[in-house]
Amino acid sequence: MLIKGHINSNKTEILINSYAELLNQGADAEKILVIVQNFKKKNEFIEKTKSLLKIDALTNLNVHTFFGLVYNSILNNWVIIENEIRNNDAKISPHLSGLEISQYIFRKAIDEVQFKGYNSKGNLLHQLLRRYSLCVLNALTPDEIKERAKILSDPFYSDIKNALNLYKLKTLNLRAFDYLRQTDIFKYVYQNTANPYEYIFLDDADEITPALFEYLKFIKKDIKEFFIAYDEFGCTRKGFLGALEFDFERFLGEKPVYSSMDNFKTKKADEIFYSIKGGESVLIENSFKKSFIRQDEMTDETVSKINTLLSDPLNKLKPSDIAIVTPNIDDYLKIQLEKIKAPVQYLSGSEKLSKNPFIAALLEILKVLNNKNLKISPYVLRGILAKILSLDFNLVLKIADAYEVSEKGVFECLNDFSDNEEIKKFLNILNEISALKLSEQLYTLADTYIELKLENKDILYKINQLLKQVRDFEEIFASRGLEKLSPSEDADTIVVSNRELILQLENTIISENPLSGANVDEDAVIVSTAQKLIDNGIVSKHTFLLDTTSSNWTKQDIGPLYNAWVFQKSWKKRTFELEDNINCALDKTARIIRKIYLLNEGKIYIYSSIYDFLGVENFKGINHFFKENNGDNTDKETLKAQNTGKKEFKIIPRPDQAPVLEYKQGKMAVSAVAGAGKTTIMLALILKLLDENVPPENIFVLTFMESAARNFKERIKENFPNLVELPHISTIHGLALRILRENNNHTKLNLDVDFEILDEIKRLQIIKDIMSSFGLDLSKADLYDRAISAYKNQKHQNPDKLSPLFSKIFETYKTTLLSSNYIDYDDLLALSLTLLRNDKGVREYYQNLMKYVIEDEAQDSSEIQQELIKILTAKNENLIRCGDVNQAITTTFSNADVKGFKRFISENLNVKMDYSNRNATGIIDFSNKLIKYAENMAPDAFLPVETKPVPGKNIEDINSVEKLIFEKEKDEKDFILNKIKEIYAKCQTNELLNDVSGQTPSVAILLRSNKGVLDWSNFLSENSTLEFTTNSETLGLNPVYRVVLAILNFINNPLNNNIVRNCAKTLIELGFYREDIEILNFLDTLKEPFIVGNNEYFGIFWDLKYFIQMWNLPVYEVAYKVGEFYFTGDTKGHLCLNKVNVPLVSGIISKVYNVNKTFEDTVKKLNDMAAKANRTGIKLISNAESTADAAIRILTLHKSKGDEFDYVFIPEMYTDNLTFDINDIKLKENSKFIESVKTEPKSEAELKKEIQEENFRLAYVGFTRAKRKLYLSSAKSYKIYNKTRDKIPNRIFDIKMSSECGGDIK
Amino acid sequence: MNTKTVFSANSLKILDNDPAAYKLKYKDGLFLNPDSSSTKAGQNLHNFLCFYLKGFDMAKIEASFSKKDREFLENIKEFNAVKTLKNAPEKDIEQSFLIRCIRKQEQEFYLTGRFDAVLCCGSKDGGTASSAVGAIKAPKVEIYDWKMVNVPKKPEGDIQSIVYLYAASKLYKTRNVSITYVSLAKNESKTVYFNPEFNYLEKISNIVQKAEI
Repeated sequence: MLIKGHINSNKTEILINSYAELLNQGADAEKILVIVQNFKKKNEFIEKTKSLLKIDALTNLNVHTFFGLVYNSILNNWVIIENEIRNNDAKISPHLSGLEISQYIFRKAIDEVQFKGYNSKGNLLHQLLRRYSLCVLNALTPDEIKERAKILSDPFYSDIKNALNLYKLKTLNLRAFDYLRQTDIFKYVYQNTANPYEYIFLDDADEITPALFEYLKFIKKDIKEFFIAYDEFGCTRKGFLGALEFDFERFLGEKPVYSSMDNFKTKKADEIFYSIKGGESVLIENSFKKSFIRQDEMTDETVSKINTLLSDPLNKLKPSDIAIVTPNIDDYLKIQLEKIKAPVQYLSGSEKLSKNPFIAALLEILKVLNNKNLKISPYVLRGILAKILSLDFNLVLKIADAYEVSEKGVFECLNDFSDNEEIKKFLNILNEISALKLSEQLYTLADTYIELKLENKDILYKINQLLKQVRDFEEIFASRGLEKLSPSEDADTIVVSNRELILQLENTIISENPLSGANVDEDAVIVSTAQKLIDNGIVSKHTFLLDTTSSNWTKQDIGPLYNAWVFQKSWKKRTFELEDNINCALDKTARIIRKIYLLNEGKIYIYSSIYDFLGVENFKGINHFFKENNGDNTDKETLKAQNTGKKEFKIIPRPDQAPVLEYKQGKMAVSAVAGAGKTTIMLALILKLLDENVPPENIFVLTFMESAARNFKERIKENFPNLVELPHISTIHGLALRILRENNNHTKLNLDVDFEILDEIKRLQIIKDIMSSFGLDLSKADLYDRAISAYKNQKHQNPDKLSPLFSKIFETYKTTLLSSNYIDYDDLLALSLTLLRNDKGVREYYQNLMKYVIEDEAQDSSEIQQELIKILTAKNENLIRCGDVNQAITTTFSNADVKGFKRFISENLNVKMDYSNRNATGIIDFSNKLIKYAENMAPDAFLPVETKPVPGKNIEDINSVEKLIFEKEKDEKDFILNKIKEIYAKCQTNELLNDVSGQTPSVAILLRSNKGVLDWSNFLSENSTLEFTTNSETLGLNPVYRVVLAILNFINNPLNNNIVRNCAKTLIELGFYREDIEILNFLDTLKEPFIVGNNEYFGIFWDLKYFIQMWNLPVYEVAYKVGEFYFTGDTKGHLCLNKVNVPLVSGIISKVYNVNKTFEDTVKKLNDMAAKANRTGIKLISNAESTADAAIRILTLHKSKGDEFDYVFIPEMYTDNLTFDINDIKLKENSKFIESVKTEPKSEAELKKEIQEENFRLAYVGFTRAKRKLYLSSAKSYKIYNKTRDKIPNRIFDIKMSSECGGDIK
Repeated sequence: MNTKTVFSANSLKILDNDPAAYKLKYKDGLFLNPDSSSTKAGQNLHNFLCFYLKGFDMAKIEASFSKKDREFLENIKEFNAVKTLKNAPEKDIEQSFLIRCIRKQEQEFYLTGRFDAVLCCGSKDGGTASSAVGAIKAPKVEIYDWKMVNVPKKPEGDIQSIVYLYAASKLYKTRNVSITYVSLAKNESKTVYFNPEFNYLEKISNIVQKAEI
């Protein structure tokens, strides 16, 4: 019997009815085999069958998952396998163990095989296991595997074969088999034993693996009747678990009967399937599509919608009628969804067991127990005392404090407190179990300290998992025969120690087991991945598809050593091209979305966001497959609401701008002076292209800074609120990363799918580790960091020129990256270039896609970037490069190639925009004078250009530049502070408002360095109540970072009142607990530690106590919770940005924690980092990016590029700070060293010239930021490192403005 | 979905002694898996007997045992019960069962378990076994249960005896049923016979009832 039906039809019921009927007729249950997809379906099948049974007694029902069948077959027929194993160390039963054991054995096998030149040894194990898994599940023969190795031109074929054979041999020798190894052996079993079955029932046959199908084919001759239910377009597990389409009609030689299905729905589902398979979008009735800028906006809307749905009694909804489907189920999502006013159940995800604070604390006890010399972190000790021993709060802090200051070990220290009964009992237990096996130690601790109650169910489950794993290890590696024997001396017997085992436990991940199916809670909103939703057949009335722009929706299972598409049993092609990859992925996506659609019995909400929670842009995903549904009223209203907020963007171009908007095709340069409206006109050009219906995915915009990309996107979104797929707008690194990641292109470079971009913290750490392994001075780590980059970024590298030491460091660095599957930012561009050059498929893919490329800040473009752009635009050749060579301010520390842009300007149509309506006339005059002034001193600093004001637009003020020289630093600071106060005072009395178009004026202080930004920020906050924001990436200036760090510092040292005071001060400064202001004085006089006293009077006391009691929670989670606690109420304006930064700060801390490992070291590092620029690779969103904010801004000259302010102060303009005279430039030793690694080093004279020229341009950039007034100042002396030093004001003060010369301003 | 509770002899024993402990373990799923290494030897022996009685070639496995273990096993092979089973043409080894019980006409529950070995003494005019177990005619059914060291002191009242005898009577559709506990270490055995006077279902139902309290 062949039953055709889909996931939400009654096909399973038909099977169950037939099965029950057969049993009721007296058929022997042992002769009927039922195969279902997972445990959940197994239980359902059995329960439903039982309800139909009319007989009283039968042998047990043979309902199995495929792997359950395999497991039982091996156990029941073990002897015939044992008799085939050559090694004589026979066992009466096999160890059918978990994947952890196999991984352990596999690792030992890999150690014996070379894999010379393999790129990412760290992930080799995963690669091989995936490959083995695909071979087994697809039932590939050795010849079929060989054929596939050829298709993928597999360079490690023989190494892989050796490693796999070794692995298989070792598992045989140890008689240890996980489910894959069991499946591998199963074939031998069924081929060599009598088939016991007469009837086969198979549900969800479209999802079965070829391994199962091969079995069915083999036993077919003995089977009286098959009952098979399948879905014609099912098979969502293809390209992952090896499922593939089988022709069941041919297999059984019969026509299917149809299960009852909703015809309309079935037809629509088929339409969805065919549309998506063909790469087309499809309209789904009752679907609502919404896109957001940020991920948190998307989840907030989801939560609010769900709460509304549930609260309306008319809806008559159970929580389980709602399902959220997303590939990104992580801790952050879980915290965000806590706001749903109903229980939430998660169906997915791998989970590291040791992430649970209780289990982590248990493991720490075991660690110390098995290594008495180990000094654990006091934070962890607190966790143990509070979470395991449940000691009193004050005592916990007291003991941990005593432990921290003493030299004693943990137990020794606890001994001092053994008058406490709990501690005494604890020490006794430890004493009793110290000589036992690890499993016994763990069991005793768990048995003593975990109460059997429902709240502990999850922990008990996890502990049982751990116990099983430890026991497996202990049993497999240390016992044999009927009795427990001492470890064998056999070479293949690996004896594991307790310490080794603990390490294994710490890394245990409960992985997403393809067999498992959760019990679905009827009272919970389900949150699931697509595959789990399908596997469990979860039907819902409201389905929320989230993150539909995330590429994780369409993640493909491809790595350097395997390819899930090619490893399919049915793969017939002799090659694997990019096109195949795209088509296979479309096919799989079509199947998945079709099934999700079928599982929905009401409405589907399709929500996406431009950025993910870490602020990284999403792209691809499945969003574009869904057409906007405009037929629904609700939706129209939403659109209307969105449209009201729309900022209409209209531009009437000036004559010098007009040619840009007349652009049709070809190459065009736009060289624009500062304030010429370059960004605006580029935006206008992008909007024009979109208006002309150029598909967004064909427009590529490259910016220099990520913030600029973000800005463009937000403004495009404002103009096209319904546009979900924005043009690709990113930095060149963002584009390079996309090229490597998209379509798994990275595998062509032998890069594993999990390759990571080395962030700057980790990179520096690696360099430091290398240096310390060579016994070098770590203070030079930064220098080596830059030198490595300089060396890598050359077109031609010459290793022979390098000093032996640098060469050694560089080579080790390279090897470390290779073996850890890291690439750095420099590799990113180089690798994508290599890929585009060498792979025709990839090259043509992007050349076809890139119809228009617009590059911003083209003067900063490096040689390699220009090379990339050249290849990418080679087909369509529609390239617009915008920039201003006079604003090239990154040449000395980056690899910017200004000459390249100059050449482009000279070779192509050049739109010159030399009108600026930004600056007051005096400022334009002064900037033009600067260019003239430089002609003599640094003739190549500028392209000679004279900026012209736009008639009638600029403020006419010939005195708009003030130059001031002060005696002392303090005078300068006071002057600026008073001036700013004056501006705001005037503004309040409306004197100023009219002048600056009715808005509060903007003020900026521009500085040479990040340190300057920090100094001035501190000065302003200590001496005024003025509110300011910084655009510096200095972490310590970010409110979220400040708050989180203040709390972490407190948690790290809770008994120190000084630290509590600092913490309170920070919180009060940031606007929290203002009612608790007297706490600062109170703490000054308080003798006892604040937190253990009776200080309930202060609100802050309660909150601090709450935070400290998150015992043993990983530091980044504490950070997240602290951030959520303080910033969650922010819903609009720039405060909202703080809320957005909460996950980002937590992300940064997570990175730091991964390097530093303990709570204490992480907090220490976070304090070090506070004063420095953020180099973590996670960019915090700063207030300054929001143009709506009218605050004082303090930022570096470099960062000010692209911005404009009514009032600009540039203080500290002394010679050393910004040198114009080449003779005053002193080259640092470091710069010389960096040149020395280059194949063609610049001479000292050249370097000095470069610095001098750039200093001029930097000044030019700074000046041209000012719209209304520019104040340039310097003092004659400054305090530097606590010493007062005389300083000479910069030559800028020599430049005479036209007003000073009595001349006119042109 | 309305699930029908399944009881094993073990879970009934726990339920009978301590309903709260039963609830914790079987209803709430709250338990720590105890170390099974102490029962490992027992499991291995069960496995050995199962394979041996099924007729697998055990030479290699036996050869890997220590001399002491081999002697121990040779001794067991000579036990009457083992010898009888080894030579019997009709037997079920490791036979599992699922028995539907209806309490007070309404409440359904199931009994499950596994007989270590069943000797079916067929006769031409006996009743037909249900579910075609062994596909034989079996008026007389002997169940064997291997115990490592001790057989139960009072097997008649033991819940395992009650469940197994009741289950076998239903599964093999005969009242001519016995259960023999065999101590493998001591070569002792005790046999309990199905008692037609005794209301097995009522006894079991009374225990099952405790699960509702």
